[in-house]
Amino acid sequence: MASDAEARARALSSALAALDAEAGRQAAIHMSACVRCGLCGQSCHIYRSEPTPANLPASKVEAVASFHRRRHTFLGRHAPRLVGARDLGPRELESLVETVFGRCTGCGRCSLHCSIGLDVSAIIRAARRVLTKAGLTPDGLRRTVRTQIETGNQMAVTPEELRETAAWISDELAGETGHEGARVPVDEAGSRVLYLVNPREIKFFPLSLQAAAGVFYAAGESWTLSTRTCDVTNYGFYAVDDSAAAELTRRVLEEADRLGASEVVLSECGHGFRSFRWEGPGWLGERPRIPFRSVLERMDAWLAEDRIPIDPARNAAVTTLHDPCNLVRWGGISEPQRNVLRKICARFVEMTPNRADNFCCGGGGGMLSMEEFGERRVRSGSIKAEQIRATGARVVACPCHNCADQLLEITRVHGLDVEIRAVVEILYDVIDWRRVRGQTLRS
Amino acid sequence: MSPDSASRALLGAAALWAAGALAFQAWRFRGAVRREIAEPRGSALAGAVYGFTAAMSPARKESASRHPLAFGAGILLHLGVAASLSIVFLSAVAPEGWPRLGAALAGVSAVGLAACVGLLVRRLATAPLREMSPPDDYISNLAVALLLASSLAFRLDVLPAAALQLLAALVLLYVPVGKLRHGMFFFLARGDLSLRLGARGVYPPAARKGGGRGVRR
Amino acid sequence: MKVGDHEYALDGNGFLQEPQSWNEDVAREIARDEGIADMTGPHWAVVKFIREYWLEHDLAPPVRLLCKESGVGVRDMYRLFRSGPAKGACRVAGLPKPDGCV
Repeated sequence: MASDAEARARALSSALAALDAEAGRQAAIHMSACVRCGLCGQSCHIYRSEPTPANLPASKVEAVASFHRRRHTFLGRHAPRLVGARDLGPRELESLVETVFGRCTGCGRCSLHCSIGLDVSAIIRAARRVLTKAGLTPDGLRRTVRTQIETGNQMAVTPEELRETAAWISDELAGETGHEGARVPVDEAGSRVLYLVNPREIKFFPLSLQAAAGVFYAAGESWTLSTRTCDVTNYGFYAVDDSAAAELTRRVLEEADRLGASEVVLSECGHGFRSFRWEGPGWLGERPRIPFRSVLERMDAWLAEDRIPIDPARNAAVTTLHDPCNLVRWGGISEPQRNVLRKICARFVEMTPNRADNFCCGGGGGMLSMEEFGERRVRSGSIKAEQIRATGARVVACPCHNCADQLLEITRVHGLDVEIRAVVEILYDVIDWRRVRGQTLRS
Repeated sequence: MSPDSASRALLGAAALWAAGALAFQAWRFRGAVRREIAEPRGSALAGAVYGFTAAMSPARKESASRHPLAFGAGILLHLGVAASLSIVFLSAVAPEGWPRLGAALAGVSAVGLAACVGLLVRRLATAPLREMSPPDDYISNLAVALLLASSLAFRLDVLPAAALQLLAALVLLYVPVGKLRHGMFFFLARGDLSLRLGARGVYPPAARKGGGRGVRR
Repeated sequence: MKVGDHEYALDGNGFLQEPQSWNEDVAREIARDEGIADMTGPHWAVVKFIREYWLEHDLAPPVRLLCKESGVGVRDMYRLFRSGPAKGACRVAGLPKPDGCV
């Protein structure tokens, strides 16, 4: 059909223009540095769980770099076969979608172990940007970005639904703690902190929101949710749709201004932290006026200041910790959650490897929203499942809702009897409510 | 012009070409390595220092620890290249000088040559590697082998200086256009990654910072 | 996935490919995969409400409504369905996977 052919031609020319735009950027440095030594396979959870050549990180680099080389290097232009340079055509675009969305979560582990030290995920992200500009983002991801832009959050939670859930959780919280003042404030101007959650906490997993509300209350923090911007996630980051990503960042800053908040605290979320804390200033081109902090950093500080009375004896379960890639390897937050867990878990054990050397759970990079790669996603979680099994832990603290979902699934598939919990939920359970003073300190 | 001065001039021109072309490629990326706009959590400089030192030790790098043979061969190959280039340089500027240094450099080149051949065999024998290798990978390997072998042959008095310099010039011509340009891009790529990870407080790792941030029990 | 004489296709995330083809036997089979050996009264109350809500709104219900309508407390919800109401209960109810971080 003519219109189909036209659409394909348009997609291709946008892709080529976007590819050319990458030529002088950071990713092209990394594309030019690979020597194809092929020593990266064992550092990649996807290659290890499915060792086909296409899953080798170096092959994924090559799958992108070969198109760059064709248009932007001397031999690539004049003797393409000699240097493995390829023309980007409609069929190549299709297989590129599978490579950069379906074979890599951008976890970055291979980069830290690379003999050269090239940033593989920067290359993958550049290719995602190219495909997104060509309109070829996988459906599930594209839908989620659109929902987020149109409704203000990735699950289309309405203001009314948020208010009613907040009221319901407030009742539950007061009932459990015996403190009438403990509640989930919504749209309260003058609060010191604007708290962002993963919308799934409102829609499907309210216990972590309840726990956060309890912890805020016990610490005497002044905080609020907002019905305009409640979402800590940024699917523009996964799709590498920079304008959507920037827009979602800008809205949060505007809302914080409107409410007069002086700090934005982020619920446990890997890519959300990375997006707001590190990439957001790049998208906006300026440093934000107020700081973005993970709730993990806040909990660490409150416990260090003895602002939350706790009784760790209540928690005897052997607990281990998952390190989300975007929070730890790309975000630099590895110690706050450990400081917290060491104080609230009688028996805390590390996974091996851990911190910036962790293995991806397999659900990163937006993988959970792309059904077409589901089988590979679950298979690639086998390394994480074995890591967890080796600790003998009964509880896995998981400071990322996205990873948590993947961990729930892979532990079920691998027959592991463990609980997956947010750090804030574990802390909430050991708060000694009789010693909580219960006044909210306003600043 | 004598054959010797002609070959020296060609060698000089080739070296200038290689350096100039690599510098030009690096210059094209002048705006690409940017400072993190976000407020840093660590030091970019400390990250870079770590990235170019401890981060490259086999203890911290699986590409080395999981592949000791290939990693070792890679190190020997690069040492051999440095030795060979020194032999070429000495042949042009001080043909009569430092015979014992020359012999030592020849030894390192010989070991490098063995490593180079070993890595070629590895590339041919490893399926995923063979599948993604364009001719450039083999040309680059052979070009380096040529450099190593000819400098060795020169030190064994079976190749005249002029021939060595011409062969070396040929290899240098290829450096900026094929994957041998990683000799420059290695520094840009690792530098860019390490600076970023430094600013984010990922490099150097917490365990090395004597307890990390925040308060511990 | 085979139930009786019928073959039911699941998508990459283990959700029913054709939500219309759902029936109680299918639900039992998916539940077994979720680690639920026996679908009890509360299980059915949750699953049926999800199903009805979805048929009417083309959306998975929020957990608040789910708890209210099924009479299952919020903490019990995660004991009934270990993967939670989104991936666990919606899957058993034969819904397509909700978009986003689930």
